[in-house]
Order: sequence, then C-alpha cells, then structure tokens
Amino acid sequence: MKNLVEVLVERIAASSAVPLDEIMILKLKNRPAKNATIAVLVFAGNEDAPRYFVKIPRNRAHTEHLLREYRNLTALKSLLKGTDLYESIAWPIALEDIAGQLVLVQPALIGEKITNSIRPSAANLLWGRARRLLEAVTTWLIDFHLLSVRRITLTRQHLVPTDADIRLLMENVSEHSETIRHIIQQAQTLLDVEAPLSMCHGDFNSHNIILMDNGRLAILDWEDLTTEAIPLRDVFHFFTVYAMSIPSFSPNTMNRHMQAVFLNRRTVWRNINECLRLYCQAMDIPLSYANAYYPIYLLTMALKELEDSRIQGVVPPRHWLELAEFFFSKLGGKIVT
Amino acid sequence: MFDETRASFPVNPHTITGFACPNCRDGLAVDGRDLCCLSCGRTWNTGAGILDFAAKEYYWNQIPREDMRRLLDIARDVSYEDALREVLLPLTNEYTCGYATDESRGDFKILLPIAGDSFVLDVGCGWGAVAISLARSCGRLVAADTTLETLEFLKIRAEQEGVDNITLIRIDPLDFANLPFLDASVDTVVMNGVLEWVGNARQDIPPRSVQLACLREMKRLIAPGGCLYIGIENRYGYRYFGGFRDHSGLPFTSLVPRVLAGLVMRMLRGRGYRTYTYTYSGYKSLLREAGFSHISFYHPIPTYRNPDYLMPLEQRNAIKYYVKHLMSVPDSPSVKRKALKKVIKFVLPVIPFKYLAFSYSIVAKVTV
Repeated sequence: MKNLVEVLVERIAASSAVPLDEIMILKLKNRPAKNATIAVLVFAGNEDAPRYFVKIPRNRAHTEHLLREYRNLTALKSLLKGTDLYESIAWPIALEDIAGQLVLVQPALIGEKITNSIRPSAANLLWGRARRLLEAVTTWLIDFHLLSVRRITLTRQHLVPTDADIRLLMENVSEHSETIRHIIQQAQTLLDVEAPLSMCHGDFNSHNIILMDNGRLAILDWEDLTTEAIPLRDVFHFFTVYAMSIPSFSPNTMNRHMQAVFLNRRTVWRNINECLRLYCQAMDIPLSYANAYYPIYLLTMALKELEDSRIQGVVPPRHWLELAEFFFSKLGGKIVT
Repeated sequence: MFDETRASFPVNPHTITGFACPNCRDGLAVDGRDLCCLSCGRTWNTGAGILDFAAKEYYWNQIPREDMRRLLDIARDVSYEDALREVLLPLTNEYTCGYATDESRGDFKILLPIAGDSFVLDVGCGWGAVAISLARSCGRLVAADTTLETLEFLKIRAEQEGVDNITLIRIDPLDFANLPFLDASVDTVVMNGVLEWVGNARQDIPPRSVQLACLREMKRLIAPGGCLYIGIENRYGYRYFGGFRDHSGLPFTSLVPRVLAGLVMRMLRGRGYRTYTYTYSGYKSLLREAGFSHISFYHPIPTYRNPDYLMPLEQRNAIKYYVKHLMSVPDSPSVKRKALKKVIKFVLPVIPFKYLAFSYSIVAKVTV
C-alpha cells in the first residue's frame, strides 16, 4: 500500500511527464493556526521543471475552507483572464480525493513572503525597498478592486454586523461596550453615502503576499473572498496586520505604531500613509470616508476573530477593539494625512 | 491506580480484534469486565476503558501525580484544553504545553500508508497529540503507554474531540519485546521518541540488543505491506557538537565512543550509558537486521518532535531549496547575525546533511 505522498508524486509524474526519481517532497506547516493545512511541496530536481504545491486539509472544518478556496478561485479565473493580475494567482490544477483524503494541487509559487522585506529595518528603508513593495501592493489592490467596482448608496447592512452579532461581541468583551457603541454611532455618519463596493480578498496581509523570483507579486489564500464588500477593508487589513506583525509587537507598541501611521511620523509609516492616499485617490474615496470607516473595519475584525476563537477554544482577542479605543481617544477618530 | 468506581467498560469485541495474549500469543476473549486468554486463562483488567496489560505500577509524566490528577478533574469537568492551560502551563512552559496539544505533530502521517481501514499502533503515546492526529486518518488506533493517568487524559481528550476509534492499552515501561498483538495484525507502528529509551528496559543485555529485540517485535506485529515509523535523534546531529545535551543528560555523550560515554556516565551519574542513538548508517543496519526493507530517511526541521518541514534526505536539491527559499534566520540588526545567516546559507547546501541532520524521521517497510 502506498502513502499519500507516493500517490501524489505518481499522479503528478504521470500528468506532467516529470521523471519520478527527480521529484522532491517537502512538507510545510502553517503555524500556528489549528486548522491549517498540511502542505506538501512536490518539485522536480531540475530547476526549470514544474513545481507543485499540494494542500491537504487536517480536519473536516479545513476541508470546507479548502473547497471554498477552490470555488472562489474557479469563479475568479474568468474575471481575471486577460489581465495582468492573472499571473499573480496559483490557479488550481486539480482537486482530488485520494483514499478519502481531499487534496488541492496548485503550481508552487517560488519566491519570498514580503513580510521581511517591508519591515522597518535600515536595509529596507535605506534602499527604498519597503516603499517600492508597498507601492506595488497598493497598485495591485487598486487594479484588483477596479475590476469589479460599482458605486452604491450604503445601507446599514453594508457597514455594521447584525444586532445579534453585536450582542454576542458585547457579551464576550464587555469592557469594550462603550467603544462598540461609539463605532456604531460612527457608522451612522456613513449611511446614505455613495461609496464603492467591490470584490475583497478578505485576508489581504503581508503573510499572504509573495514576491516571486520573476519580480511579480503573488497573492495566496483566497478562501475569504467576498464579491461585494467595502474595498477599504483590504487596505486597512494589510497595514493593520503589518503593524501587528512587527517582532516587538504588544498592545502598547501596536498603538505606538498605529499612532505613527496616523500621524504620518516615521518613514515606513509615512510610506503606508502615502499608499493609503494613493489608493483613496485611485478609487475616488474621500479620506474623511476612510477615517470614518477604519473603526468599523476593526469591529468587523473583532467579530471575525471572536468566531475563530470560539471554534479554537481560546480567549477572544481584544486587540482590535483596543486599537479602536485608542483611535477614538488619542486621535479623535482621524487619520492625519 | 485508576478509580474502580468509574470502571464500567463494556468491552466491544471489535476493539480487541488483533490482540493476543502476551505469553502464549493466543487470541483474547471478553469475560465481564476483564479480558482473558483463551489458552492459558490469564486475565487482564479493562477498567475505565483502558486495557491494562501492565504487571507493575508505574508513573511517568512531566508533572507530579497529584497535579496530574487535578488536571484530569478539570479536563473531565471543563475541557482538556483548559486543564492543560490551568495545570500544565504553570508547572512547565509554553513549549511543553504546545507539545501536548499540537496535533500537527502527527503530520508525518502523510508519509505512512494509512487509509480509512488501517490499524495503527502508537507506542508511547504520551499526551496523545500524535495519536489523535493519526486516529483522524485511520480506521482504528491503539495507543499504548505506561502511565494510567496519561491514558485516562487521552481518553477524555478523544471523547471531547469526537474521536471514537482509539483503544487504550497500558503496558509495562519499555516492555516492547512482548506486545499483546497477533502476528502481522497491525498496518503501521509509530515509535515517536521511544527507541532511544528502550535500552533501559534490560540492564543485563547491551542496549543495541534490547533495541534490536524491540524492532524485531515490531516487525512481528506489522502486516506485509505495512510500515514502522521512527522519530529519533541522529547520534552525530549537528547540535550535539555545540554541547546540546544528549538523552543521558550530559553533553557530548553521543559523540564519544560508547565505552567512554559509559565511563563518564558511571562517574557523574552512577549508571551506565544506555540511551543509544545511531548514525544514518547505524539505523539502516539496525533496521535491516530486524528484517525491515525499503528504509527512507527524512530530516524533520527543527526536530522530529515538532516538525515544520520534512525533507527526504536522499534529495540534495530539497536541502538547497529549503536553504534558498524557506529557511528563516531571525531578523536582527546585528552585523554578526547577518554574517552568520549568509554563512549558513552558503555552507548548508554543501555539507553532507544526511550524516549531520539533528534528527531523523524514518519509514521502514515490511515487504509483501
């Protein structure tokens, strides 16, 4: 009897005419998410031969995620065909059931995650590497959102979660009830405003962006793709997660970083701020609208993490709401540009 | 011993399929709450849902027995995850807690021929992270350990995770030469971090002979086409050259000749050196001697205990790819660190990695 990897290698070898003895296997683990897939990288010894990335779900919940990602990618393919963005996605080659185990085969994207390259280190800042990458990411996002953008008058359901969800959130993070109320009041100001809606990646952060060896950007993890959402969500998610992923991260330092972003202080943060302005200009979004939307985005994230934390049985993360509290108390709810 | 009042094990005959009397190797039958041998009539307790084949009372865990009992109470009343956070974490550290909970430690299962109807034996299951992971992919899993409380924890954990295909058995410490299974009854045996300790089982025989006997016993259990998985350190693993402590508790003991290591151990610890690990070639010959064939070596990174990557050691390009694209050296502004990163990236692909890898994941097959 053969193991899963042997079966995979044989199938890939048969489909792509790669000699079996030249195929290599690496197993990668996506920590620390409990539901992360086991990922196997299968590639040929020859540098030019095709390489494959195989995702294997660990449990039933993740099988659902994988199927969702497959469906999203299939739907996205027709939309992106013929555009420059088409090359930046690892389109599925096969979704197979091998001995009762679902696997998703994609071409391997050879490159590095941009997380290290945009860190505020001297090397990244001195040579303008971080700035170039941030601009490239922003341009990618503008192109992606412009593909499906339409302008509509916003209603409550576009902006705030349902009453039941808010009640649930308040029960779990009761110390932030005041902040949540404040955010909902803020949302009122955006009602009946004409604003863009577009497709949103849903988890657009530096860990999901790869700078490939050919110099292009590649975007991973499409399981949270939504067809009609406020596009600013992707931008805010990108730079908020960026601030949180800095090694010295703690709630205090995060607030300091975010203050620097909003107050346009340090170089790397100034870069982000400029990217936000570039984005708003290209998408025809007033900065006052972005200011007002930021805490709403934080509320949405708090709710999303609450759901995840309930599944994983961990304490609900409060940092999104702490950040919102800070945003109101220290900055008066303004992104300074 | 366990609480007899909770002993209400209605033995499902299916759960004892493949089991045999450790003495006469004949099949077992259910006799009320006990298991009994059809030939010699010997009986074993099956209280609290654990088949107890052990003759001796034994306790080993990272935490004292009283704390383990408290942990079990919380696990039963609240959840096993809360119990680990409340009891294990304060007494140990985050690494141990992660080690106990992280199911992804069992991801090596993709290298094993496991299907929905496979019968897997996890020897030395401990907190059960690997056992639960394996049980999710196989038909039936037997988890063996020496400590009743540990098995009881795994029982609670499996119930709370909704995993119902695990049979728990208690065996005597390191008594792997006489396991209660029929010949060729198991599809896969997993020994993750176990083989190196087996030498301690008998003091009158050289450790290698004890390990060999254990491997021969595993070979006896495994059905043709099945395999044995071993997670273990390399005797000449690169970390040992930097003074990393061997299983003996002392640095450099695995690197020096066995006689010298034994002498040092007797002088400093009052006992001999018996936790033998081997080199790449050493494991190969040991497994061949035990009757296994088709032996594949993988290098688990960082170690077999918690692998992020598994690389086939025969494939040099895999190492090159890892170094070029996946290896992360902590980012630091220090010039020394950066220089070190460059040196590592330059040197790693050219060193004979299969001989210096810190640990191995070994898959040894039993031919049809």
